[in-house]
Amino acid sequence: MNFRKKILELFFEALESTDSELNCELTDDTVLLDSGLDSLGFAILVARLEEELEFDPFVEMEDAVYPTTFGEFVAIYENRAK
Amino acid sequence: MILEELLTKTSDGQVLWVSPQKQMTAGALRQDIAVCRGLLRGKDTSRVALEPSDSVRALTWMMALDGIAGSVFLVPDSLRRSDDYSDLKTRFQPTLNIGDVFTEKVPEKSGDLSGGHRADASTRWVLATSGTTGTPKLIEHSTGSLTKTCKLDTERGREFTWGLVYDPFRFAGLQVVLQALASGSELVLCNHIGNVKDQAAFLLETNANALSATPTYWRKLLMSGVLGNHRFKQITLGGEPADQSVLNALKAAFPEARIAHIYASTEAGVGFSVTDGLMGFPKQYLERGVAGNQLRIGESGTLLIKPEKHVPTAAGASLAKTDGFIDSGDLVAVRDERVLFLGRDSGAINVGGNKVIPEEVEAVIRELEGVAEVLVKPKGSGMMGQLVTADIQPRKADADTASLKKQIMAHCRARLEKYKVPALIRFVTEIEHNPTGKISRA
Repeated sequence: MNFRKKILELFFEALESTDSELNCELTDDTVLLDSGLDSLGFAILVARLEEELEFDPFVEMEDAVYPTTFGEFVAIYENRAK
Repeated sequence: MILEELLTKTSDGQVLWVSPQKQMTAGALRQDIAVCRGLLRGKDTSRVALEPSDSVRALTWMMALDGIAGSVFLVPDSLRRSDDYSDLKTRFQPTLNIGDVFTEKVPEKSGDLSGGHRADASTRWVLATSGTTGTPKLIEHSTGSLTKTCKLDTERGREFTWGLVYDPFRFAGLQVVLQALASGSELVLCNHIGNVKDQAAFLLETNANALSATPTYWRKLLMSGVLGNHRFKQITLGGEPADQSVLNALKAAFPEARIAHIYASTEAGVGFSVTDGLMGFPKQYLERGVAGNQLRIGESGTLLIKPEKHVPTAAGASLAKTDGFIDSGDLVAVRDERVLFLGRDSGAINVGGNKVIPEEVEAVIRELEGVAEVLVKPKGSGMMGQLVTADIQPRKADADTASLKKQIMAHCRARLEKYKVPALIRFVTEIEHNPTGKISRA
């Protein structure tokens, strides 16, 4: 499973469904809250990922970490799948 | 007691309120209160609508009015700008408006309503709360009921600088304002700062070390990456149930902080706080009560609360049943010695602290030709508490669902506030109705 590809696809879908636009180039260092996707859009992204991947790492987390950057966000999904 | 008495233990030079625009010391506040009282002389203050957009100004007026006015409608900024306001204002029937200009209109004094100083009764504070049908309702409180859980220890209070991210005229915001005032803590007003990163930066700049916010807001703060090395002494979560993940994450990020999550019901007045770091609250509270309130689970699975005192009233009538218990409308379940929150019995959805009534969203979606039936319900979210989802039964079995989905989203976005727009849309072949013909929400 290529998580990055799936996340990118649904990231742009969440941007569209919240009427938002990407403010900057999306790289691993992009701060999520600066990306143009607001927190509601971000919650939608996580919910859509749960629909497709059948897990929500932010509900399961014992040692909860909330990601600051896009790279951290992708890593949370990749680590969960390991 | 009136609110101004909360200032007796503070010296004139002590800073009480800080906003990006101004600072207010206790001495300046005392003077401003006196000026406001002067302006009120001879006015009919039996029913005052208090609606200044500047929070420091609004709070100064609130303190000046205590003990003088009969009822004061504390109008939050967002409500003042909403469609519901003119309706609520008509219902409240103010005799005096205090807005950005002192008086927008001073109605004719009616003969039987007394103006001037009222020694006879304490001032009633009227707060708007999102009602069960989506229409806001007005709930009355007294100064006593609003300050009953405030700690009055100014010795310890001076160690705290409270951040305010809520509107001060919403119940949660007012609690923070009054707690800071009662304990002589400085209050940093961030509520007019547009985004979380700038709010976080202002909290850092002012060394705010205590903050009360929704779990959704705390997740955003954690994600902002701005407060990495900040030290909080007090972290309070309220407005929606806190999940274990956010409690754990806050503990890890701010190990020195005391972390409390608040359960509060506007209908029952102030609720209680839980500080053991676990979600929900201990089951023993059902047996021995908490903070003077008795709790039990009602027949329909909702939490019933019998407040110790100060039962607030809706439009003058008591909300309590004959045995003194008030139905909170919050569905709960007992699991592993904890009482956990499951949602609202009305089906209302709490999106990051904002209430969404399913019927309102359903009515909007049903306006579309291609939709035969719709069911709007909550979906748990590790980010926002809950999200809005919509199950759609298309009118035609062979409908182009992709284009119908786009149409629904565009229609909802045009008609509803952002948090009410369904986050997820699913197409189903049939939406079930119960025997009375209503949509089955269970």
